[in-house]
Amino acid sequence: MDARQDSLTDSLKEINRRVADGDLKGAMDHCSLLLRDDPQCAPALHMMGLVAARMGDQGLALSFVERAHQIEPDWREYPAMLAYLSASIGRITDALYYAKLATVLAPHPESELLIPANLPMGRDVFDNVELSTHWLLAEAAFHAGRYAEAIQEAESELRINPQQYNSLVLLARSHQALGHHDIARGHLLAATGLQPNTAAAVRWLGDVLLSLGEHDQALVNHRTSLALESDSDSIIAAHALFQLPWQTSANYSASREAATEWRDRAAPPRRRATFHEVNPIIGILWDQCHSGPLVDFFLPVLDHFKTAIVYRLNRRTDATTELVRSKAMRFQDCADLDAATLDRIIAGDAPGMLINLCNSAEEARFPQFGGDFVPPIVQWLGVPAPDRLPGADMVIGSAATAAVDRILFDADKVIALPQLLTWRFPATGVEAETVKPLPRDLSGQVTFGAIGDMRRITAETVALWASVLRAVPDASILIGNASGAWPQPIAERLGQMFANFGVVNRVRLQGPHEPTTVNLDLFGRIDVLLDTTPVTGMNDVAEALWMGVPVVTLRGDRRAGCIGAAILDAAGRGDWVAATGEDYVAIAARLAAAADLDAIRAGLRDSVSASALCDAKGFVDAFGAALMSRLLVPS
Amino acid sequence: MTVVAVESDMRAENMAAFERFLPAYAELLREYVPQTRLVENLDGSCDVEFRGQCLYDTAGDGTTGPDLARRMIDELKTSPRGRIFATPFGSSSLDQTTSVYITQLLKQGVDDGVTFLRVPNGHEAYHLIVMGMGLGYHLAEALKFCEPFSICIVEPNLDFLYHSLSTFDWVSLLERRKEWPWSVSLLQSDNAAEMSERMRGHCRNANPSAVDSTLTIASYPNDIMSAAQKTFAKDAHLIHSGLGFFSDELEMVRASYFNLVAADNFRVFKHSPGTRAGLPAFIVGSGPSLDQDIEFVKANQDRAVIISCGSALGALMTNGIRPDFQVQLENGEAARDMLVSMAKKYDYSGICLIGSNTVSPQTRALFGEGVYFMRQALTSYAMFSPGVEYSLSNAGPTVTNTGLEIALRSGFTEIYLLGCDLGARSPDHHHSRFSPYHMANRTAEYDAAVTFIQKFPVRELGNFGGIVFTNEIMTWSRQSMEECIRGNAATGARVFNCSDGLRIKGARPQVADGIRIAALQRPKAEIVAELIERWPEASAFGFNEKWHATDWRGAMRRYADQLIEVCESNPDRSHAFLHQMGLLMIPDHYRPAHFEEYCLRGTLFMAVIATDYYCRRVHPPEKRGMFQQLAYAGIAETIQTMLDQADWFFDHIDEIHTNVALKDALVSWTPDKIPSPTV
Repeated sequence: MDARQDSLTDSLKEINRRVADGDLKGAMDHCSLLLRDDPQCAPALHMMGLVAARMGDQGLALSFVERAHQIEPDWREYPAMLAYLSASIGRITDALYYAKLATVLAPHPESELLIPANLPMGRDVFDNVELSTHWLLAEAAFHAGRYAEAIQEAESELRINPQQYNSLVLLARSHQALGHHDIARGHLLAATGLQPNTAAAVRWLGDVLLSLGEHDQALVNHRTSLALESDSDSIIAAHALFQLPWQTSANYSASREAATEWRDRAAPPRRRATFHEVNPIIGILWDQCHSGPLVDFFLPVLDHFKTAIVYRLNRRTDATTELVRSKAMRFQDCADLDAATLDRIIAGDAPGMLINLCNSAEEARFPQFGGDFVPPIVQWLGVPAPDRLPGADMVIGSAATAAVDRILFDADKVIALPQLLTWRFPATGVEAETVKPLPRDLSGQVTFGAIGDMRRITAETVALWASVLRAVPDASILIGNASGAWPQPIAERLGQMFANFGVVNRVRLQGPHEPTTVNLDLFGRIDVLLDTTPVTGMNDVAEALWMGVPVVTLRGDRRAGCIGAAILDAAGRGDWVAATGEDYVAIAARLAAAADLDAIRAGLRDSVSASALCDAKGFVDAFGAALMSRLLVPS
Repeated sequence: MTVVAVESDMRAENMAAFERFLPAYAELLREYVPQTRLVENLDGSCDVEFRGQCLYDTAGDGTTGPDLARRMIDELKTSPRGRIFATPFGSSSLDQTTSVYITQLLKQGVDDGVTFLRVPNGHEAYHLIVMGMGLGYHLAEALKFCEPFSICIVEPNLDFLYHSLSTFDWVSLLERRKEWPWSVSLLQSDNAAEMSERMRGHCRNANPSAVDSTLTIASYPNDIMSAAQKTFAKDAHLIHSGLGFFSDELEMVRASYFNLVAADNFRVFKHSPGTRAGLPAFIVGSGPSLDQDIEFVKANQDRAVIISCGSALGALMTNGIRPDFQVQLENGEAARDMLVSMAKKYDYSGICLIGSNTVSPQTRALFGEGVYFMRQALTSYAMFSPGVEYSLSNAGPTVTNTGLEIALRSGFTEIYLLGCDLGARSPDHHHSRFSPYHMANRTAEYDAAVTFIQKFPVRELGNFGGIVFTNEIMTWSRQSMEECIRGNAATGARVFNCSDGLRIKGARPQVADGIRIAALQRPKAEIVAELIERWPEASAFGFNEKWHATDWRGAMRRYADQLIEVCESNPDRSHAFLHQMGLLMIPDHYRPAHFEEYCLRGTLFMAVIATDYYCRRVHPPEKRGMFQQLAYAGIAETIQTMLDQADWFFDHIDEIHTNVALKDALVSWTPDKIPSPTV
């Protein structure tokens, strides 16, 4: 017994020495050794709590020390530590209880080793009353794009306050941003359970369900969140509208109804845009001014916009933000401004028009303009491209989007350009950016490719791909994603969807690969990329062309379904745009059988480079001419 | 091209030089892993290669860095590109002392057949600003070309700095710092605003009198560097703004003497680090946009401390708003007269004066409570300041930025700027319509009307978008505010700019209508009284003893002898003269400036700037030596004149206080018209 006691004393001394040296991990490891020998070793659990508190994780510390107290309820040191920890996170009642309890208990034989000399005891613990900062740190990390850190902080907060709704939602969103959609779903379900009548978690859950390919349930969630949303100026509701274009064709009319219902109910009438004078300044309102999907389309345009003022709404800053800052005529940080101040600043600048690129969760804005000046608000791109952005007066369109734009905007409100967009390849200089040999030549069989974004892989998409596979015997399809990791629910869902068409044995999922900005590994291993429907690809379509991979797309019934066609039109490959499903299959089959597919692959990058798609100056000139003609005609 | 081995003797020697002179950069470079490669051209010069693209040989036609550098210098020989040329001082911007000196000098020069060119007749530049170090080829050529005394290098890309260790002789360059730290400074940043501010700061610290002919070169094209270069050129005038002048310094010593030495009914402002005021502060200026926000101030006057700045007092009192504090900055009688005339109509009781130690001594009597802050970088500061914590580093040029610093230094963490326009939306509409500036036709009810003579020729970005008209003093005031906000960032204070004027970095634009301020939990008067009681009473400082214990005149005389010695050494190069004078006038890099340095240097800076301006434009060039000699002799004479004036001032300080004619004479003092105290 004495030997065991001596051993414990030595171990506690060693743990204290490591703590004093700042070797917290070493101290924790030593505690684990003690627990391995005796899982009921309360002093070891207590010391783990002390170390966890030093690491800043008070929630974890509490759980260790509470366990120690349960095992050995008669010693003073455990409630003393619990009193201190409770006070440090603002749990005053608990702190009071434990502090009182500590005063009536006997000291542990190793008391000096268990309680640091400077630990407040008795009523002194109340000099140390603080609130947990994990939630604030989590939010800051999330907005800075440091999702792993956000997860760590949110989890620390939840260990202290397991019922904290905001931490649960933030934890889920961080996982979602990292592609852990199934984990995100679990946290959001817990959050909706805590506060069933709060719109945020319901809507985020809708987004996650979309990412898992569960479109029907996602629509229900998005509609529910719109119904729960009472604030007419709510960004949450507006963002729910952004998600509706992801919906399947079957659900799309219902989602449009939901959008219209919400607009009629909540959106305040916006005053008519006024044209005071010809002002060539273009305002750009942007909530994602950092690395993201729109950057490759926006930066080349900004190179040629000589009079652009960028109103940055997001807090996150990275190299892209700095690039935009250096290229814009003026760059205004507006993230922290209230709506009235933002409106007034824009009105003060009096831009000839305001292009609203907003498309994000909580940072998007849709100005109302209360003063004399109301600039025309113009909608252009988004992910997914919305049909009609809240508050948009006009839309930039092209032949590819004309059919959709005609439905939602008056003819004179469509700025029709020869091409919808322009694009620049996000070169990183890695060797893999060279165009690879045609896989068909190596394997003798055609490999179609597809992007594994479950928001876009609907039953219609799978049906179309299955038709292509049936039309091209021996061909297979390789579905890729950014990391090559496939969460089980997604892999199972994809398998099931293809199994319904009897082609599951010809479907492969891309394996783990070097993560790069562009999925170069996928493009090196496929012959033809099959686009999705009813929402088409955007960056991936342009990137595939750059990598020598032909793309087959189907023009859709919504603006988000026309982007693939717009890119191919601009790249001079309108012949790869299908108007119907049959066309789509025929084009894919033709390309698969094309004898000159290797020549197409070898020459595609040069032809894309020389095409209108990469002619940012031509795009801006056409845009400028259209803009001036608009501004010269008073509305 | 071949890849260059990174390890070399040159690199090791350069690293050793960095470790000695710029250790922070040495640490950065030691661990740095570049993304690019250093490659060697056929001619032995180097280039930096990244993904097949070269820094210098952008077109792949074999162009090298040295080729480009030589080409740049050839262009600079015949082009003013990259130069900052100062405009000559007009008589309105010179004080009496400098004006007399420069008029005599020019007259003598012209009589001797000298004419003056529009631009200097040489390629020298005192300050060389190198935008982008690259591999150092451009810097090497520029050093030979313009023979600078101070070099400021900014490089956005650490890769280039890293590679330059293998291509450029940093050792020789950095060893210049042995003599003088401002000979070479280095900044690695990819932020255009930071670059331009640091470049300006370098020039101001090195020698503000040497802006004329400053050369900025860019070693390679870069958007961020271009933006920084433009901002630097636009704001170059700020480098030599606010240097002061001699008679003004004496006048402020006089005011301080009567405020601090001859009185005892005041407190001394002291910073309150770590304390929280517990309520918001409104900093109220009398800019035109105050008219829009006056109702907001009225509605919230019981929920925030109101700090009125200068003439805003009239606008507030006219609207029935009694501020808690009135900030006064300027010495001289105009500011006091305005307060005196307004006092005939309005009662200032309950308002606490927070004034500079240099405000007119009659100001204090108008207010119930009085607090003085020490205004830095003035003669009176060196004479009386009990410590930096009793001073404001950004007091001036306007009372508005002073008000902001007072709030930030007093523990306010929620600060709203109202009517702090620093300009106007319309160049013709200055100040609030309630301010004394617009009372000219309402003298029957209020006789404090004053005239505003400043113009707003400069256009700057507005706080609420668009363009605002302003001038150099206001942009300088803005710079002070920005520095102040940045310098107090650690306090967590948030500054909201509700004024429809200049955009102020660090102050968030905020429409006043959207602000909701919570009601206070206890009477505001109690909180204000606590704030005032934090500041110590005058009796704790012993100003009187300090005044009488120091030999002010002797210190000034000894200093003047050193300056005259430089003039008599008659340096060949005008920039050498600037440099030697600069070393004596700006000791700040190794110790705080003394009373005598503050007192003489403002006017001397002006004289030296004007001297250098004309000396380097003398035509024909062979007359330059003669003209320089005349100039240096003139400056020595000017120094002697100032000494005489200082003697006269110390002899008659008590009489100047009560004799208006003597006070006026202080400004227009000339050795041949020494005023008599009996006047």
